[in-house]
Amino acid sequence: MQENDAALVGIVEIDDYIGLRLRPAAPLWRQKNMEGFEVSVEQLAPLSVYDQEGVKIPLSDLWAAQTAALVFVRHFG
Amino acid sequence: MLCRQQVAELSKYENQFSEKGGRLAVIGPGRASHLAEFREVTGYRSDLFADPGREAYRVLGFSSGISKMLGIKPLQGALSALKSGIRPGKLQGSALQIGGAVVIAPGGELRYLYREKYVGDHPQVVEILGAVSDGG
Repeated sequence: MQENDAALVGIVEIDDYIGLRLRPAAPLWRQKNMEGFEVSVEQLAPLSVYDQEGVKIPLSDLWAAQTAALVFVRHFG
Repeated sequence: MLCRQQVAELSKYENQFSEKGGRLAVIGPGRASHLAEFREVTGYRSDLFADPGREAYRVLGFSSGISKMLGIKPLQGALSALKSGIRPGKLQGSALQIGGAVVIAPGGELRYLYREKYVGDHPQVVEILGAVSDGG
């Protein structure tokens, strides 16, 4: 469980040492902002992804030479 | 619709993306070691990448949380996938993450943004193709 998962909803998670604990939901204003905030391509550009060989590829490389359609899936299952 | 069903569907349009001068890439929140198997089961041949830290998901506002998995629509999507013979594979990534799509032109122009609202709320391929064509 990552920090971001628990930030959006109140969720019970298993802590290795303490046992079950309740993590509070993020304030409503924050959840609302998550729905509506503007996307910054400038923030996206320096991030990297990994190809099948584990090579790090800057996201900006994907749209450097041609229009890129990036489809983000939930998982690889 | 399951992720592998979504990508198998996308694979039918791969040639259209290249014909329109676009580049199609699928990105998932798993590890690079998951990509070969996913490619095999979906038949998808274009670019496929892993974003294990889900940094791009956060920047794009693709939310995660158990609430996105609950409700009639996610259940209908899962049942529809099962009915069509698609079976879920071993989970490789984050079960709580939902996705979306963007189309970005050279120079950084954002032409299309779709944020899924719940599990199975996938972007329409024709809309993505349309955004690739715009101005191209």
